[in-house]
Amino acid sequence: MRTKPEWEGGCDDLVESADPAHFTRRPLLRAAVLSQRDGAGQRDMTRLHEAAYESLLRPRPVAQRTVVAGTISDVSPHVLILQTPEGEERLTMTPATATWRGGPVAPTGLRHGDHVIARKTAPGPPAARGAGARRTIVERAWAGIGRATGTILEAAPRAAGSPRDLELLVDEGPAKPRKIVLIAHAVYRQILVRFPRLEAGYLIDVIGLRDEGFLRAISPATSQPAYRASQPPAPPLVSGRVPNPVSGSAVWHDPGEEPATLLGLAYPAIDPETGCEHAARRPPRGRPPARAGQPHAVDPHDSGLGCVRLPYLSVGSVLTVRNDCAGLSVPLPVTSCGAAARLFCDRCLQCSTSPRGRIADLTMAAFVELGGRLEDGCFNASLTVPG
Amino acid sequence: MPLGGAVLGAAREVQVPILALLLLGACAAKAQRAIRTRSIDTAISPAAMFPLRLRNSTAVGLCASELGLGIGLLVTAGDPGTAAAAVTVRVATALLFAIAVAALNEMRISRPDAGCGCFGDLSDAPVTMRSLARSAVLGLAALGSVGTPPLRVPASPGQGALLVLAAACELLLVAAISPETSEILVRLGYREPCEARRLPVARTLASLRASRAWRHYRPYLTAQAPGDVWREGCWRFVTYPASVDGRDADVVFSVYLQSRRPAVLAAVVAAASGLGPQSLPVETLRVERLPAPWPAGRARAAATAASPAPWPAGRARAAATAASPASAGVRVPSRPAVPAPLAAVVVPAPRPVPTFTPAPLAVTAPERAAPTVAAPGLPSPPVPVHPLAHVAPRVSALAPAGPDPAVLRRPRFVPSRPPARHAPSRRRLPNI
Repeated sequence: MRTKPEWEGGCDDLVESADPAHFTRRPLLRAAVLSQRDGAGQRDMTRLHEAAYESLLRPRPVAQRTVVAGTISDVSPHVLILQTPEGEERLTMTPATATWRGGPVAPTGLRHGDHVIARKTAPGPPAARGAGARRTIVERAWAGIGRATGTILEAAPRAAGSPRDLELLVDEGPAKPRKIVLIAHAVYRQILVRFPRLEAGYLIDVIGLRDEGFLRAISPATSQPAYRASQPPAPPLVSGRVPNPVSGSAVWHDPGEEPATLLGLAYPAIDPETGCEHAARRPPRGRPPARAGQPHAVDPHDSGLGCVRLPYLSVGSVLTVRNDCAGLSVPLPVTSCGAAARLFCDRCLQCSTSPRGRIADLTMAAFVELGGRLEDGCFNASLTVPG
Repeated sequence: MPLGGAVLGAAREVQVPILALLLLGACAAKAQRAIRTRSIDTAISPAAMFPLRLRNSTAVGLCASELGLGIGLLVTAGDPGTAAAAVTVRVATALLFAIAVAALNEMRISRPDAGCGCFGDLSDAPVTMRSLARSAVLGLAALGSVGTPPLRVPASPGQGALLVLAAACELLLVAAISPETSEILVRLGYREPCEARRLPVARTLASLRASRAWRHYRPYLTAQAPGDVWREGCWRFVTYPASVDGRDADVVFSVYLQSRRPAVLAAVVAAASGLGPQSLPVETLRVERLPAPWPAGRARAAATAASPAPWPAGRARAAATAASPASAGVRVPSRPAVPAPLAAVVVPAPRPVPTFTPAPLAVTAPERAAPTVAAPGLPSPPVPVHPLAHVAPRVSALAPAGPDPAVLRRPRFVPSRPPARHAPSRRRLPNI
């Protein structure tokens, strides 16, 4: 007798999952099945899988990584000492090293206790570069950088301080805690140029400095969409096949609960039947339904497909992200659901005008690894799904 | 009148209805977008260049002026008594298009990412020289229509044909320089690609359970509910926990994302748990090819009619196919035999093809190791597979190879070559 099939998926997140192994094995199981059809591709997928999951399964020693994240334990004009989970890491800064702390600063502008993410240069000439080579010279370092991307729930002048200081409560989606963004008087006009509607129901995307319990906005990361968060434009129609590779804008998000050095991406088009949207219909535990107390809270899973048509994938899938501006390409696993990226229909203008829509919401480390500059907020990217 | 003058006159005459049509269409597209999004200024339009407090009124003013000019052009087109009004409306239309050229040029420089919003949702592409050229052409057309006589019914069929030809040429020109044309063509011929098609999991599972691969591997499964379900592009994958000779395994099915008769593939891999290199790579226990499909339809009916004994069906067929002691207790869903009326109407034909020939009884073929994924540092022991596993699928992959006494007691068949019309199941796979 045939029983009615039932499948109850959850809101997938590779890092927060109790059993991440079943996510990491998915590409290999896929290759094992589909290799019967074409006879090839299994070895390629195994190689791709190994490269994509390296940061998660077989992390290299800190000295050999391109991206390092930690807390400053000491800093001088030429040496930066970071406290990382794996131990202390001494890095060299040269006159060419660019450091950011709310803006371009001298290395001495970094402070003890700051959380820093840094990209190292490859040692020696390009021909001599190897995966196992030790890297110590910092090319770029960002201290205390953070980002708030989501829907404004409340906007109010700050109680204390200047009356022009504005505090926003920002909702970044059901899986993330809400953020408080402080727009100080000094940057208010600069942000108002790109975000003219700092009011409930509209979208915001700003980059700033992380502070105790809030984000101090520094610069806008994009232009504000003219529509309300709950009324994004209709998705474009794609005839025939979804293009592969697909081009668009790649952005980054705050690590939150994720490890700071995780290389992965939040994918905007997780299969709605088995991934996030499946769980989104039920309010998460310990959290009231989105619309109960907050009329402006928007569940990105319910608000359409976004401005770019992407193939549906799942958490654990491996795909290759290419920075079209820097020419770098890295295989990355899908580590979480990035439905909030679908609310934005912007273009990235870093090296040319990208097609409309965000195709990848990278982790901070992956964005830096791919040669992106965090303060820019995006780079023009191409996404290749292995066939 | 010389031919050149007649063509020019016809071209000037058709401008008024074409301009009115385009203006009213643009207004309707903007209004449709505003109604859908429940916001006036959501349209990405030149209104975005205005200060925030003026955007709503700018958007409304633009739409209202298009509507007013479109109606005005039509109302004043045919009445000789409104010549002055007609000139005013046509000059105003030319002025509107001139302003549009300037505004679009400004947008192209200051907002290179924004679409012009001229035709609502259709105009999402960034402003290019094509949009400017269209506005300029329409502005010139409006100027050219100033001073034309009132519209009237064509005096002769030849004149009517000339008017239609002039209108068609101008519409083709406008379509050629309009960035929206490609978007309209895409929408007309739209079919959701399989990568972006939504299909409920229940549908996938129902298709899976009706497939041959499911019947093939079902005896090994240890749970009714799938262990994991995920999707990549056009395929949905379903794993079930299984047991192969006491060893934990996972049966991985992949089902193509289509609602009817999807392709289904399957593989058996060793189970693993825990996050880390030890759980990887995937050890493929057995990757089998499904047996060639049985003749169906006419060929099968013919075979039934021609042979005195019916083609083995149901349990008998299962026994003949899976000649193994492991299959003795397996419940195989039986397929109904060919109904007699169907067999009767088919022209008797000689028994088709010697589809099956007796296989050698002695098992002497060298052992064939199961294909495994390369495991750096973790060599997996070679797993012997029965050399005829593709016709005796329920023989355990982990069982030692060798002559099986049960095999010798039963008639054993192996397909000599796949039937021409029912060749491998992969034939139905879409070309991806």
